[in-house]
Amino acid sequence: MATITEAYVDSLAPTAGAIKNGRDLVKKNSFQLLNETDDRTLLFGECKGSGKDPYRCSVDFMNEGSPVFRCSCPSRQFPCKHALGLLYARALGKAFATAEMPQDIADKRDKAEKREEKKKEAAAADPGDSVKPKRKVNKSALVKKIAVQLDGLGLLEKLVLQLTLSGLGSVDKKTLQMIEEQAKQLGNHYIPGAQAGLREFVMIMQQSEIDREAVYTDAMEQLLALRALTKKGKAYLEQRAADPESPMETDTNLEELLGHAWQLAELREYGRVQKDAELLQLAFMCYTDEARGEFADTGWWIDLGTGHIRVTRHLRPFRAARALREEDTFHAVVKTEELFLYPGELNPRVRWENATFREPGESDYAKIKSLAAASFPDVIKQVKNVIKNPLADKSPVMLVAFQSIEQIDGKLVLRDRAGKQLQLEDFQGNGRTTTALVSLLGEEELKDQAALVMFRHHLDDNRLSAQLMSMVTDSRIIRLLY
Amino acid sequence: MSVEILSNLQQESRRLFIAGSAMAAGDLRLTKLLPSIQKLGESSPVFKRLAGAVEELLGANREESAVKLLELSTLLSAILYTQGKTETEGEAIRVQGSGIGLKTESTYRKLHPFIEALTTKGQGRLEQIRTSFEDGSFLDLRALPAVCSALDDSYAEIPDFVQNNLIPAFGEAAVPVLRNQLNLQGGKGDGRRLLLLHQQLRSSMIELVTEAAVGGAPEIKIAAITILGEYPEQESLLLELSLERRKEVRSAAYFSLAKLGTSAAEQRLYEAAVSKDREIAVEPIQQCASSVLLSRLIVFGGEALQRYSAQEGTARTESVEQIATVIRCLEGSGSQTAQEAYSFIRTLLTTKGFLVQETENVQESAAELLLELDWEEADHFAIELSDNYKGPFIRYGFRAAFKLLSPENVYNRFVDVLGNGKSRAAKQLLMAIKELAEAQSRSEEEYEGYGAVQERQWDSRWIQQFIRLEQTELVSLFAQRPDREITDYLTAKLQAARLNDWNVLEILLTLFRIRYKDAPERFMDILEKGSVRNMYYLSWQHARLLAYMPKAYAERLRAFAEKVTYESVRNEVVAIIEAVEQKPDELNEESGRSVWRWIKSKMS
Repeated sequence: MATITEAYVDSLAPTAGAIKNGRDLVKKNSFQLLNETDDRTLLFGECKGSGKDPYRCSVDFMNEGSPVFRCSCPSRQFPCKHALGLLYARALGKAFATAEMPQDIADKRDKAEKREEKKKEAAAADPGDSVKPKRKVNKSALVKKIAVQLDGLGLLEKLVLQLTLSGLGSVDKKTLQMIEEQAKQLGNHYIPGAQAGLREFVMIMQQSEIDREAVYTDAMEQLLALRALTKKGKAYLEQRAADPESPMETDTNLEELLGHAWQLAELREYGRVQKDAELLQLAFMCYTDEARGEFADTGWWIDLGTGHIRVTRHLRPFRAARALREEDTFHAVVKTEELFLYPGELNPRVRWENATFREPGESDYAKIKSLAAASFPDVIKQVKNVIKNPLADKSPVMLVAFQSIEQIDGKLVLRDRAGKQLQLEDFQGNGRTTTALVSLLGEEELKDQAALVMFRHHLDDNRLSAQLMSMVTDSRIIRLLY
Repeated sequence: MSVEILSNLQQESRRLFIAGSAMAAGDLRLTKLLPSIQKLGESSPVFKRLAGAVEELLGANREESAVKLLELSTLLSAILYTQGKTETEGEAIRVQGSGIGLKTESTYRKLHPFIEALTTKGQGRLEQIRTSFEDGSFLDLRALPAVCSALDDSYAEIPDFVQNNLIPAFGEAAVPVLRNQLNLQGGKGDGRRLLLLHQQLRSSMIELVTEAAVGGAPEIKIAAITILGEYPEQESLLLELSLERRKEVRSAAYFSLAKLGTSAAEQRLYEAAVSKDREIAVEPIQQCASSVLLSRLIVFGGEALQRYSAQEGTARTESVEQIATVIRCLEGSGSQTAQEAYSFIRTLLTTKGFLVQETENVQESAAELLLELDWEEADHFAIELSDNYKGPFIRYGFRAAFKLLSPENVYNRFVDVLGNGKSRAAKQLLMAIKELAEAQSRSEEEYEGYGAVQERQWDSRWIQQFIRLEQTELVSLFAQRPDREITDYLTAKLQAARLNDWNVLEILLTLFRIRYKDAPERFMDILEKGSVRNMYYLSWQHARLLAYMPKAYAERLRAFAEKVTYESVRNEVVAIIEAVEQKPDELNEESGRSVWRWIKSKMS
């Protein structure tokens, strides 16, 4: 069994409250019994609850990457505070007595093993299926669905043209209400991404009247994006309707923008799997996406093998937010056998199912620094090439190596080895000013380090600037954003 | 050049987006721009496409115009996105790091709510800040600027907590941020910043402090002056500041001068006390507690008294005020100049002209001070005063006498004052007795309930006087044993009483205390005939009384409990009755306190 760190247990907890409650159980000595089995694959114990009998909980590490939590408490939170408390007790160095595995857990293990075997048998019995995991597609259904999607895109296109024709200046409350209605209708067309795009337009227009000009600029960009989406989406869907056998679009994030939720099986099918990847999180943030009605727990990770910046996005719809696990900052290195890559450009979204963890060390930091892009012009070129596409993510995140941090006219800039600059700024959407923290860092930390930055182009004054998210030095990761 | 044309074009297309593409056909400004774009197009294919798009838009009919405008804009913005400037002109200065070396390891789920609590408005913020303080996650570089900014928060408890707990925990690390945020012309938050900076930097920042004291906004000035009180070398500046126009500033300066305690400072405080500033000078002088200063003030008080005797009208009131100030200054530290203070008060309270109704408040505080001096002569004088001028001095005289004389003497000296209890002097005396008696009974029972006065200290005849004057409260306090006279009086008072009447409970507890044999019966009586319906809360007095009941009443008590309407009260009552049933017999002979202790242990 891997060593259990507090950070690891924190990461298992579904909410901040669960962390606190789990820790409190250890603090208050609520565990009357702490046991482990000989082979150290099972932790189990008894925890005092409000009732007469204590709760019996256990954490089973049969499969190291995905422990199994069991508890006799009625909580719907998973894992519950008792299972978390058991792990905290281990992480905090409480004494665990060696004991026999309880019978009920042994039974459950047997059953699980049998299930596994059956699965394997089934897989062995039907080798054709596992070699060629391509799933069958119901063609006529697909064609039907695409027709409906095309219909929806047609509606959207008409609306965009109509708005352009009459002008943003003429958009009033009534028009917005009409658009809202249309957006609702788009809900029947299997294009939730496009629907959210339209909602976003409404929200931009509904912003306070204080800065009308900025609102117009944003609204115009949103119209351009919607136009590009309908145009490209239509072309793509028409081509697929004509040939339902043709593969899904995986070079760009078009499918996702239309609203497709990629399944891991699909990603595997399209070969979007990276073997044996190691990732370390450099920044984390939770965005509230009003248009989609969800929270997006977003993590930026560096692939320690390739140096690519990957993104994890955990979406929690407002309606279900209570029942869903909240993601959090993660300090350990994640090792996974299979890293699933979503289609995307500079920062493709990733996911993994099983992972093991280890504490990062100085060799990791040195590695990260060596992976940082040394030349700003190269990075900038890459960024510009991506953001010029109207459908692209307009705020890509990159890891750059900088020589120094300087101040020009009260503004901070990063300078690379060749003396090229990158202007630093605080983007409102991120909600925090990171530039103010720079002067609080150590002298050494401002020289010759790596920085994770988010780019953004300002159409109004034609500037491309960046927000400092984190810095990586030889000895630590300095998280400036979150 | 080309960038300028692009941005002009962007302006125009943006304008058309707002106005509507229907207006685009043959648009004048767009037409004007076209030739320069076409010219650029000769050398660059991108501009050629752009020129084409502009031409198409200009020539498009109403229906097509939208598509054309969208196409032009898409192309244009794609070009613009590749043109973003990243270089900044100007002189570059390397950023100096202050190297405060804080960690950045708090996780989002912990840090985010904390920073939100510090930077937004709304409920539950202090609670969140406390939680973050307790689990230590607040100690993070990223939180520091928000923590320091929260000193300006309008909900005062937050800046208080930040100032007292959070920033001291950051220690030296907070200095650069505080210094950066400090605005000498700011508000209260900046005053807090100055104090916090001084906690870390001490005398090394004295220049900044003097600057703030001289030129800062009022709130900062006051904070700076408070700091200056620790630096004797800043005496001259403080003296200067004590002459400021604003009252708050002067007041702060007086406090700091009092802390310095130099002779010049005392001189200034003296001047303040004898001038219009006397109100704000009193407290600093009390804190200073310098016997030299107090002696001077006593002399001044004596002079004021002479002026008083010689004056008329408003000038006279002024002298009274001056005398009052001197007395207030002496409060708390008068004993170190007891001799002088005593002779001053003696003169004051024997000056016939001063003993008039207008100065009564001053007379009383003078008398109070007399006792406070803790000086035998002063106590004797206090007794004398009560002999001669019964009026407001009877209270103080009685207290002095209680201290000095035997119980019998005290009784003999004061009993005649009581008369029929209606005179002002009698009322004053009863009040003084009550004060003393209550203090005694409280220390006796350690606040656990009604006790009695210490028997040795009082003459036994007092209680008869109280019975005569129907002072039930005093009778309860003074009752020591079940004498006929006492129990008759108290039981008579119980007639026509209700159970929840506070007075009744007191009487019943007293009856139990003095072991009146009928006490349980009386209580049972009241319970049985009383309005049990009204019992919605079981007070500690009720609980005690129930516990004191002998076992024999268990059955009747249970019958009573049945009738209690409120379930929670009924449960409590039953629990006590059950304990009573198990009470060992010998306990009945014990004092009430041990019975109660036994019952309590039984019930927990």
